[in-house]
Amino acid sequence: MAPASWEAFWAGRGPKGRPVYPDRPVLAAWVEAESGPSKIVLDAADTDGTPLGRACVFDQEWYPGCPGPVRFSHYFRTLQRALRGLKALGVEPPRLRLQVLKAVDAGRGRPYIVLLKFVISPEYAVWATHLEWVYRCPLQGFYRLFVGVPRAPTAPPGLQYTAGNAIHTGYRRAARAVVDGRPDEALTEYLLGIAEAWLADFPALVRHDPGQIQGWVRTIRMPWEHADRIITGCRARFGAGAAAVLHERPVFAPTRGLGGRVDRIIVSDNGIQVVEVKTSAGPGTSLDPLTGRQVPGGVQALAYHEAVRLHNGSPPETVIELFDGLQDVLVSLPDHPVVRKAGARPRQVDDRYLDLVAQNRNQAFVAAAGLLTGYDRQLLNQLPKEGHRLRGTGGDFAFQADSPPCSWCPAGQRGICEQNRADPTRRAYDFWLYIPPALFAYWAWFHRQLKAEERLEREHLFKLATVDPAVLEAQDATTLGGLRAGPVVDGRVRLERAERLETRLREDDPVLVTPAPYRPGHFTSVRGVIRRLETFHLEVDLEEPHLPPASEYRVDRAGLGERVDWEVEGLTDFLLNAMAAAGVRGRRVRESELPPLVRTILGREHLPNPTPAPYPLTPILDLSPSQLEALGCILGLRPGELLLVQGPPGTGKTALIAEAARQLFFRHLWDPIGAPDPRPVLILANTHRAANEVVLKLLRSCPELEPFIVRVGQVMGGMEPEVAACVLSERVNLRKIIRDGLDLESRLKDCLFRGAVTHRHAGIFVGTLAAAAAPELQGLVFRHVIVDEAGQATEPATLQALRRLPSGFDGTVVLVGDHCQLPPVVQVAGVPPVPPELGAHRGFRPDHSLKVSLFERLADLYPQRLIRLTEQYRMARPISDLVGETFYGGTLRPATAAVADQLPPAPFDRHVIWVLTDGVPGAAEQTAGSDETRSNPYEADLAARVVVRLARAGLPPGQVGVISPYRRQNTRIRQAIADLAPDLADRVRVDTVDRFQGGERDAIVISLTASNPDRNLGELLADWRRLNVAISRARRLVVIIGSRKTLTEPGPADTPEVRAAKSYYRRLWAGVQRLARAGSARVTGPEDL
Amino acid sequence: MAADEFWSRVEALRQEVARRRFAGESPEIQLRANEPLVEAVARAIAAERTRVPIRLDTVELWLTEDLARDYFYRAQTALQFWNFYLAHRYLDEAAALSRDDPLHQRVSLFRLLTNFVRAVVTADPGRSKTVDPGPVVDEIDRLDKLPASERDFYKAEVRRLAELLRRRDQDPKVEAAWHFLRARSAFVREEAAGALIPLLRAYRALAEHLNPSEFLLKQVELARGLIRFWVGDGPQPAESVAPESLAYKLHDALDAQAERDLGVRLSVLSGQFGLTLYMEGDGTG
Repeated sequence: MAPASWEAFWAGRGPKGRPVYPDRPVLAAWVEAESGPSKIVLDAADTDGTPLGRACVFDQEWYPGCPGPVRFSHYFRTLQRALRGLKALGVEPPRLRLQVLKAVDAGRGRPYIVLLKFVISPEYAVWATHLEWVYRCPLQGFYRLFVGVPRAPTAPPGLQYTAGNAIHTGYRRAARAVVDGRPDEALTEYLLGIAEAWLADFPALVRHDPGQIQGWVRTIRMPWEHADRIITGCRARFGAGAAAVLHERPVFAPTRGLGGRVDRIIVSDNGIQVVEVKTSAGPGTSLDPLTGRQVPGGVQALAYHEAVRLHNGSPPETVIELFDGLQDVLVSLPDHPVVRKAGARPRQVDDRYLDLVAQNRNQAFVAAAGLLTGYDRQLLNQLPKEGHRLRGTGGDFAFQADSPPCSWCPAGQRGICEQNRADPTRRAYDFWLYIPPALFAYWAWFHRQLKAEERLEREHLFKLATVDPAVLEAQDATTLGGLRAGPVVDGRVRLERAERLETRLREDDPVLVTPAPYRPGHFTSVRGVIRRLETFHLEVDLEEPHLPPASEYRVDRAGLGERVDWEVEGLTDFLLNAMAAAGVRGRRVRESELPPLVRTILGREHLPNPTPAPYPLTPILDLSPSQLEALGCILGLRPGELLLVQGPPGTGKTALIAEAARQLFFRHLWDPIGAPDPRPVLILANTHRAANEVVLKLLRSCPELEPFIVRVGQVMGGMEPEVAACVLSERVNLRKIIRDGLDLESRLKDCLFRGAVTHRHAGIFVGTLAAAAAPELQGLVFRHVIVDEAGQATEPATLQALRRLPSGFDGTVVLVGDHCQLPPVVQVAGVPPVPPELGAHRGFRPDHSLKVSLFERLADLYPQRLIRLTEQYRMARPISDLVGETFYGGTLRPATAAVADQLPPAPFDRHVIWVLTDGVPGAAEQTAGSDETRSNPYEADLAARVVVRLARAGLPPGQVGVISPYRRQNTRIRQAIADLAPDLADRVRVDTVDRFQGGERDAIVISLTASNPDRNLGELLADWRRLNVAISRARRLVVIIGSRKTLTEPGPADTPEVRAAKSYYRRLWAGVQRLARAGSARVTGPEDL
Repeated sequence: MAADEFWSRVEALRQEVARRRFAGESPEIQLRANEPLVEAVARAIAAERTRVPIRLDTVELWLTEDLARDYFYRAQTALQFWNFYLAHRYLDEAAALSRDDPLHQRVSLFRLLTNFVRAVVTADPGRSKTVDPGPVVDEIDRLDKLPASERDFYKAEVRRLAELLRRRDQDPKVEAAWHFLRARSAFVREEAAGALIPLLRAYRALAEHLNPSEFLLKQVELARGLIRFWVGDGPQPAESVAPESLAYKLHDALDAQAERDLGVRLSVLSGQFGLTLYMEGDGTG
C-alpha cells in the first residue's frame, strides 16, 4: 500500500502521537493473518476505493505511547465479533465500513494509524427505540432484534396509559395550532387529539374485564381536566419566537447509523430544541440518583440529539418532556440519569458522549445483523452464557442499565432466556440444541431471507442520505427530484416538474418529501403517502400540514415499513410454540414429537384425503358443487388438520369463506365464553381489501351475525360503512361520543363497558395477517383459522395464522388461495441454498424462496388435501375456457348459463381478440436498459383506440380496464387515452396486474409491451401467473395487444423460468387459435382497429 | 467400525497413557503411516484427551496449544473483572494444556498478578495496611522467556497498585473507591445484596465531605435498617424494599453525589484497582 495515501488522509489533522477526531468513513478489510488476540490489523481504503494503508485497532483503545488504556472499551471486542461473523458468513476477507470518530497516528516516521473509536457499519440503520432495548439489556437486544422473539403481553395497557397518550396527542395538535397562528383552535385540536388516542387504544382497552372498568372514573377524566393547563402552556411556549415546530419527524444520521422519529423539534431564533415526549414511567426508565425520580427516554433522546447535531452542525438543546400523571416535567439531556451515569457531556461531545452513543449502537448492530451467532446452533446456545451484558462484546457498564428488564423482556416471558431474573425457574438451558434439525433448518432458512430483506431496508435510508438523487432516480427509480410544490390543501400537496416522472413509485407508497438542499434523514423531511401519480405530477398526503419552504423538493420511497418485523416475529413464534407444544424438556426433541400441524407444515406428515362433514350441509348462500364440496371438507376438519382450497378467478372464494365462517360460528354458538376457551373463527387475509370483502359478504348473507363480527384494526379510507361499523370503536359510537363532548365521563365508561362485552361475545374476527398480533386478538385463541389470499402471502406471513390456535396447534387451518395467480411480493436479496434437512421431500424445490407461498408448497406436497373450486361466476364461456385450459388443466367452467352466455360488448363480436404486432413497423418496445423502463408507444396507442371504441359504443368507462406489466407503459396508455378522448381521462382504470388482482371489468385490454427480436420477455412476463390474472379480470371481452413471437418463441437468453412461462403462453396461443376456429375469438392485425 | 467399538478403542488408548504416566513415564502416542484411518483418528482423539503429544515420524505435535492460549486469554479477561477464582481455573487449564515455555511463564506471571490484585482488593482498611510488591517484583524478574518490556510493565503495575493501596488509607476518596470496587464485584456476581455493606462503608468514608441529597440519605437509612434487621439487631423495615434494587440505587446515588460534591466519580476511580494489560506494539516506524 502506498504510505502516501494515509498521509494525504491525515494531513492537517494534528501532530503525531495525539489523538484526533476525524469523523470520516473508511472501508476496512481484516488482515487476519497479522491480527492477534489484542490487535486487529486492517487494510483501509477511502470510500472511493483509494487505498489508504494499514490501520490497527487494539484492545482498550491502546496505542503506542498512550498515557493509559481505556478500561472496558467495547470497540475492539465488538469489531472482532463483527469481523468473525462476516468471515463465518463467507465474506472473504471480512470487510466493512467504519465511521472513524477518534484515531491517532502513533508512528514516529511513516504513519502508524490506530483507530480508537468508530461506528461499525453506519449504513445499517438502528432505530432509537432499539437502542433503548440494548441499553437496558444487550441480550434482550439480541433476542428482539435478531431472533425476533415476540412479546406476549400478559395484560393489556391500562387506562392510565391511554390517558397519558391522549394528553400527549392533544398537546401535539394544540401546539401545532398555536404555531400555525390558530391559537383559538388550540382547544379544539387538543380534544381531537384525545379522540385520536382513544380510538387508537380502544381495541386494547376493551380487553379488560368489564368489572374493572367501573373504577376508572378519575383516570377517564384526566385529559379533559388538564385541557386548560395544556392550552395555556402551549400558548406561552409556542406563541412567540418559535419559527417552526416540527412533529414526529423522521431523522437519520448516516455517519452514525442511527435513526428514528423525533417527537418534536422546535426551530427558533435561539436555536434548535429537540423534545422527546414520554407519558409514563415504564420499563425504559432510569433512576435519577440525586432526586430518586424515574426518568424514561434517555437513550432515545440521546440518539435524536446526535442525529440533529450532525445535521445542524452544532448540538441542539435536547429535553425529555415527561407527563408525570399530574405534571409536565422537563429534564434536559445533560441531566438525564443515563447521561450522568455515563459521565457524558452532550453539549461538548466529549469521549464519554461518543462512547455512550457508539457502544449501544455498535452492540445493537452486531446483534441485529446476526454477526454474533449467525445460525450456528452452538453459538446461539452459547451467547446467553456471556451474561445479559454480552461480556464478549466488551463494554463499559456505565453505558448500560444496571439491571435488565426481565419481567418485560419477550425472551424472559417465553422462557427461553437463561439469564431470566424475573423468574429463574423459567430459564431454559440449551434450548437451541434441542430443536429438531428440520424445524431449526426451516426457521433458519426463512429467517435468513427475511433478515436479508430487512438489511436492504435498514440500508435504504443510508442510500437516500448519501447517494446523489439523480443517480438514485436513474438506478432505482424510487426517487424523484427537482419537483416544485404547490400549496398544501387539507394535508395534500401537488408536486410537479417539466420532466416526465419515470418511476417505480406508485400510489399508496409511503414516501419522504424533502426540501432542497437537504437529503432524506434531515429533520426537514416530511413523511407522506402518494395518492396520485401522473406523467408530470404527483399528489402526496402529508403527515404535516406544511412543507418547509424551498424552491425544489425531492420525493423518495420511505421504506417497506414493518412487514418484515412481524413476519420474523411470526416465524419465531411458530418455532417457540412448536417446541413448547412438544411436551418434552431437557433433551433433543424428535420431529415425531411435534404437534401434527407442525409436522404437516414441515412436510413430513402422511395426510389422508379430507373427510367431509357427516351431516347434510344447509348453506344460506347459493354455492356451486365444488364450493359445497369444499364447505363439507372444511366442516369435517378435526383439530390439528389443515385443508387447502384453491380458488381460480371468479370461483367465489369469499362466498365460501363467509359460509364456512357462518356455519363454524353457529356450531360453537352455545359454547361457554370466557378465557381460556377458544373463540370460533378467525379469518386473516393478505390485504385489507380482501378482509373487508369477507366482512361484507358475511353481513349481507347473514345479517344476524352482525353483533358477533369484529373487524380487527382501525377504520381506514375506502372501507365500506357496513364494514367500518364492525370495528370495535365504531360499534360503540366512540368517535361520535368524543366529538359531541357531552357527559364524557359516563359515556366513555359506558363505551368501554359495551366494547368489552362486545369483544367478549364476538365469535368471528376478521383482519389481515399483519393483525394476528393486534390488541383485539392478543391472548385469544381460535378453534378455526381461515387464511384468504394464501397464495399471495409469504410462508412466514401465513404462519401468523397459527399464532392464534390453541396450545399445541389444536385447531383447524384452512388456506384459501390460488398459486396460479400472483405470488408473494418480496425483495429477494439473495436466497440461501435450501438446506439438506429441507428439500423436495418436504416440498422445497432447489429454486425455492420467499416467493413461494406456503399454499403453493403444500399444494404440491399434499395434492390430496387440495380442493379446487371449478365453477366460476365471472367470465363468459370462451374466456373461461381459455383461462381454464391454459392455466387450470381444463377444470374451469362457468357456474351458470347467465355467466356463460354473456355477450361481448359492442362494437366487438368476439370475446377474445388478439391484435398481433409482429412485423409491424414501429411496434417494437422501447427501453432505457432496465426492465422497469420498458414501454411500447405503439401498443399504448392501440390500447387507447380500443378503449375509446368501447366507450363510444356505450360501454361505461368504469367497466373497462387496461393492464400492462409496466408502470411506464401504463403512463403512456393514460396519456394516449387523454390525447384521444380527454373526457375519458381518469375514468378508465389503467394499471399493472398486481394492482388489478381481485377486480373485474366487462372488458380488459392487455398491452403485453415486450416486443423485441431477442424474444426477451422481461422479468414481469417471465411469471406466467401475471397473464392469468390479467386475462381473468375480464367478464365479457379480453383484448390482447402485442407480439405473439416475443411471448411464445424461444430466445437466446431464456432462463428456465422463462422457458416454463413460454410453454404456458404457447398453450394460451393455441387456445386462442382454437377459439378463433370456433368463432369465439379473433386474431387480427392493428389495421383492423 | 461401529461407534461403540471406536470409543472403546479411544478409552483403551487413554488408559494405556494413564498407566504409563502413573509409572513415571512421559508417554506420547505414535501415528504410523500404514495404520487404518479409524485407528489414526482414535489415537489423535486419545492424545488430545490425555494431553500427550502425537508423534508423526520425527515430528512431535502438541494438539492443545491453541486451547491453552484460549484459556489464558479467558483468564486475563476474568482478572480484568476481578473474578479471581475463575482466573485461576483458566490459568490451571492453560498450564495443563500447554508445552510452550513463554506461555507457561505468562501463566505463572498471571498467577502472581492475580494473587497480588486479589490481595489489594481484599486488604481491608481496618487490618492490613499495605501489600508488599517486593516479592512479586522479584518473581517477575525470574521469568526469563518474557520480553523485558513486558516484565517492566507489570513490575510498574504492581508498584502502582501497592501505592494506590497506600493512598487508600490516607485519602477518603480512594478508600471510597476501593469500597465501590468491592460493591462492583458483588454486582458482577449477581449478589447485589452483598454490595450494601461496601457501599455503606464508602458512604461512611466520605460522609463528612458530602452534602448528601435527601434521596441518598434515604437509601443509606434503608440499607442500614435492612442490615440491622438481617443480623437481628433491628426490626423488620417498615418499607418493603428489594435488596438488589436498593443496592443499585445506593450505588448510583453515592456515585452522583461524590461527583457533584467532590468532582470524582467513584465508579471510574475504582477501576484503578484493576490490572492494566500489557500491549505489544510493533512497527511504529
